[in-house]
Amino acid sequence: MGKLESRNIEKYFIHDGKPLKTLDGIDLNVEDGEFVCIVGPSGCGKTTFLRIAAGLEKPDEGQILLDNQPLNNTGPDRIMVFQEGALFPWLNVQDNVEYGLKIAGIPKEKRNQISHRYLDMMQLTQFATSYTYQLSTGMKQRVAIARALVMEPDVLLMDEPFAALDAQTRDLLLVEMQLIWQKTKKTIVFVTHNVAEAVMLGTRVLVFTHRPGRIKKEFKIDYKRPRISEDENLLPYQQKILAELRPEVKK
Amino acid sequence: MKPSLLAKKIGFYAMIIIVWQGLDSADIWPDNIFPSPVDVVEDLAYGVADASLFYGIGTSILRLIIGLTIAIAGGLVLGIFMARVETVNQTIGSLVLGLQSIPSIAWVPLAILWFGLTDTGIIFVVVIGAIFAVTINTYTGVKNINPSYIEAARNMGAKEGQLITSILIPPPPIGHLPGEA
Repeated sequence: MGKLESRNIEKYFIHDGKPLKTLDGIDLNVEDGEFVCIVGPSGCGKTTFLRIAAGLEKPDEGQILLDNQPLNNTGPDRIMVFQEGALFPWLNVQDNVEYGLKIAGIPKEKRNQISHRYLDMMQLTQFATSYTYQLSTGMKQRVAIARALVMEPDVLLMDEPFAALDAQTRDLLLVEMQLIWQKTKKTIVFVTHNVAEAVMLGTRVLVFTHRPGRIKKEFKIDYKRPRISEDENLLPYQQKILAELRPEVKK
Repeated sequence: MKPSLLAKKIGFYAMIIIVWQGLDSADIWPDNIFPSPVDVVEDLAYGVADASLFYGIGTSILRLIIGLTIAIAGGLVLGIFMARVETVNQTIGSLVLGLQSIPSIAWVPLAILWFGLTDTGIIFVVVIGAIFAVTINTYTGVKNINPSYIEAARNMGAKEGQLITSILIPPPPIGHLPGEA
């Protein structure tokens, strides 16, 4: 029994009037405090799987369980960090970060207290009153992560959150992400197409097949943290994963 | 030297008044159909003197405010419903689209028939003239909201009612509902 469990998840999309199988029986057990990375070729259903885990999409078969309870809706226990951040442009940074707390009916003073802790953690305190259009892409993603963390979710679902970042900012955030994970002990499922990113972050890396997505292989990454991108000892992991991934991308 | 913008405007309106006075002096139409500028100014002065002019303006503004408030409130509710519930869109939506193309002046005979020459009739025409435009603009506005905002809000625990108040209704500085503008 794990924290987040996926049992035989299948999903079809309608394409040209015909059902197209996107996910083909995903069985996955994510332990409490694990950092699981999913890599796969584009269109393999990895994002769809994350959306199903978040409750934003319904599976055609199978179940998602959290602490052994079947789920069929969204919930603040599983917070998603979207690829483009999905920050609300009409709210400033602090109000964005406090959004979920406000929805939950937490009083203003308490909200401020919580948001300031996470704004501080993400080095955003001095931008609390800025609007999102005034921020760089890297800062926006930090806001998105802060907005997810304030909810203190059981599981953090991250959908290629660093895909749009420049290499330097990404390297920085990849290290920060590891520190946050160590500090908060969150269970994280992280989807990416970037193998180096997966190896830096994950305790476990899953390789999805080309559509319909299945788990092809999984790799445990036992290596000290914080891992940095230029560490050569991470290369063998990357090579092994790429050897599995390449044939899928070519399909 | 070129004449200034103000001079051009003054000249233009002075010409209209001169033509107007000329037509009146030609005695083509009786005075009760085509009064002279002087008559109109005199009447305006009466209106100011006994304050009936201001009373009239006030009444008109009040009717507009009441009518627009009803239209905005109704149009917002209808528009959001149409955007969020597909069946409502497919049924009521088509009716709204049809009714929207009727000019409000066409409702006047019906308003007189139903309500007589009363305030209610006038407010009815104001409401009917605005409500469909507000509805359709609200619908468009809600439909055009980036779906990931709605997903992010749902993901953070927002129920449908909270979605409407926090995401769908225009948050002031950067509203996304042009209907009320």
